[in-house]
Amino acid sequence: MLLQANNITKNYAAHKALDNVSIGVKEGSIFGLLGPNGAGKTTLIRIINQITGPDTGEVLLNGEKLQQRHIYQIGYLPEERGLYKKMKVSEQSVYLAQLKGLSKRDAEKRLKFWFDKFEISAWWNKKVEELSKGMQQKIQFITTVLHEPKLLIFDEPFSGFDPINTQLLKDEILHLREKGSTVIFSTHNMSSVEEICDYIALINKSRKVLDGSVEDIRRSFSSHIYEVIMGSDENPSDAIRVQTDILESEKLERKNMWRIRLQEPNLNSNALLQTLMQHGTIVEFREMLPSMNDIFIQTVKNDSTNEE
Amino acid sequence: MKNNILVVLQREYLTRVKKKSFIITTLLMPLLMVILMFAPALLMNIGKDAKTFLIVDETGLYSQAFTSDSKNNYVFMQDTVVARDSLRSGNYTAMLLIHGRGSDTSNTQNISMYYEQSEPGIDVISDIKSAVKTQLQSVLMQQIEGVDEKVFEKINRTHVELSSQDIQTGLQSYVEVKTAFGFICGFLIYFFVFIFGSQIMSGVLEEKQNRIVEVIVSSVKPMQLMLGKVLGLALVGFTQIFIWVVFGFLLVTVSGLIAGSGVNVQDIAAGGVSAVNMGGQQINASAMTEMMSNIQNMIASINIPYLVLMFLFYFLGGYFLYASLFAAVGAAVETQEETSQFMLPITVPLILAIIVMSNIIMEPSGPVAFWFSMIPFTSPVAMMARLPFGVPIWEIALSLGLLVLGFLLTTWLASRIYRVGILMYGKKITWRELWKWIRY
Repeated sequence: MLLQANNITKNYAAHKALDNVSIGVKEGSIFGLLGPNGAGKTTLIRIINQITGPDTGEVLLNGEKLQQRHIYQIGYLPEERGLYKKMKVSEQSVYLAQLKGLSKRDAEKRLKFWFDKFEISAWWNKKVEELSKGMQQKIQFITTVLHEPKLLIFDEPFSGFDPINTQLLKDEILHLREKGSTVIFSTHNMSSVEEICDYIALINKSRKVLDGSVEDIRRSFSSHIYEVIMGSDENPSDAIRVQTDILESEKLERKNMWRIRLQEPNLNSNALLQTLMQHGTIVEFREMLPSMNDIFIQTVKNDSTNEE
Repeated sequence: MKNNILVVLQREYLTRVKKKSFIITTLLMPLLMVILMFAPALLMNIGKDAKTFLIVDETGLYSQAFTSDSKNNYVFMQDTVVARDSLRSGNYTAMLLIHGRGSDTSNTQNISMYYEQSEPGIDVISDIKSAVKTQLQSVLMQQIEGVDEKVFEKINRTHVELSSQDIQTGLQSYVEVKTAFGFICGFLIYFFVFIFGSQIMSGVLEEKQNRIVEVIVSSVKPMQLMLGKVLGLALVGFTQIFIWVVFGFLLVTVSGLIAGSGVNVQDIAAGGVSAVNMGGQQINASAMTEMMSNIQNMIASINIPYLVLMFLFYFLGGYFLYASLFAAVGAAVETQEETSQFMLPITVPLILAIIVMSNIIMEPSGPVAFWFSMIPFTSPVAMMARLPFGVPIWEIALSLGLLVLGFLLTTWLASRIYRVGILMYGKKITWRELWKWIRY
């Protein structure tokens, strides 16, 4: 584990922001921190960034208890983010890089590289206020990754990004992982979670209610719904219905093709397939795993009803 | 990690010093101060219309006492009713009715003054009273007591000169110069604390408003960020003061060189004479030289290096004391408008110090002066006003000690508010809320 947070509890005057939350982030993985607004994600992220300290519990980076020098190994793009409006893009980027321990010369060299890569070298001497919001976001992204941190933390990275920048950001995040970086990102954009996350933890009302790999979680939430497309001269539904539950069926445009959605909790997929084969030619067959979005909503709802 | 304070400090310093507004204020501030000092005097002379007074003199004694000059015109009238009507016509400032005294030997003179709409100020009234008094004295002495006119003139011109001297240094003291110096130093501290304090505040607020602060505090501890800002601006202040001291030094040296070589002064003075002559007054060259050396003596009578040193101490102390509080206010609020409610308690002690400053200067060793120069919130202004008059070492030491304690306390308090405030959005901030933050 690159990052291990153990039994973190954090209280603010009026409420408990985190209640005994533990997460482990594997090196080289992308870890999604999910949860509704106000669940405590940002608090956890701030604790990892040493902006605030936990009341109890500890955070280990590479097995070491978090210390101030570790900030040089972390890059953080907060949800509330901005830049000095009156400063030149270059001066500002160098300043932020210096705060992360880079020398001025080193910072400039790396910045030139990134500016070339993003084709924004023309902005070097511009003031931030002359740039559009999307342009500023690119600068923010660059300054987050410039010191090549082992651990990258993005808090709601896609909020406020336009689709083009969102795609750019996704590609860069995946690219950074390939190069060995570890990424934590918090979001409630669930489609992006399925797309890029390897692991997730779901936090609701300051407690962790779910965690694991995205694959495992989706499988464990399986409600054994399958979709099959098969060829048959006559509607096979009636014959199938005798053996298992059919949710819906329809005839496709193509000749003698049927799409059937069914639920079968008792048989595994192979056994089910064997049954189906008797009623026609199987063209497509797959299990319908619930989306992260469904899992998110279901878990949060259950969690709330359990409490009441 | 100390390095990070330095990086912050550097940015704060460079972005401010490189600004055009810094260069402009540095150059204009001394000019502004001079204008502020002399403007009231100038205005007093420029804006003055000659006033015209109507006088009805029932005694007939005072026609000599009132002679029209550039400041005031006097018109004598016989009839009270006519005079009153004339006053109503609006061409006169006021009408003076000098009542008959009943007895020639009476030493009391009653005067009624009538005015329309605006009453003449206290200056005018005391001028009138003293003119009448002098004339009445003259009349009483010469006509009733039979004192010789020359003797009376002599007695009337009695005047007292007092020169004070420090018994240790033997230097002559100029109370007026010290007063002026005290005022200027006190005001300068006040200005600096205010100007740099509010710059810190808006700097902090800016970081909060443009949402950069969370990125920064992920690399720098909030306390380091605050200290970096406070120190950076102190350095800006030092730079500014340094420039002014160098300018001032050059000015004094140049004027010293001129005064030092007598011939030069004669030339300049001679040149000056013709100019002065046109003004209708005569000042000869030797008087000019004397004035120059007088100024030199005045400057020599105050220990400037000592005062400059003290100024730096008190400037730093006062600045540190208030700067962190200003930073805390900037962190607590979200818009410039909200700052005012929290600014008030910070600025009240400063303003109070300015208000009592004239009191302090009148009685530099009095209880007001003492206490105000001990309380850390007012001591930078109050002590600077006292210092030219001489303050015992132990008082200075105590005052500076308290000031250091004071700024440690305010910095600690402020940093507690600061670290919570910078990350707090969308919450209406009350005093109670601030108290909670302090206790976190």
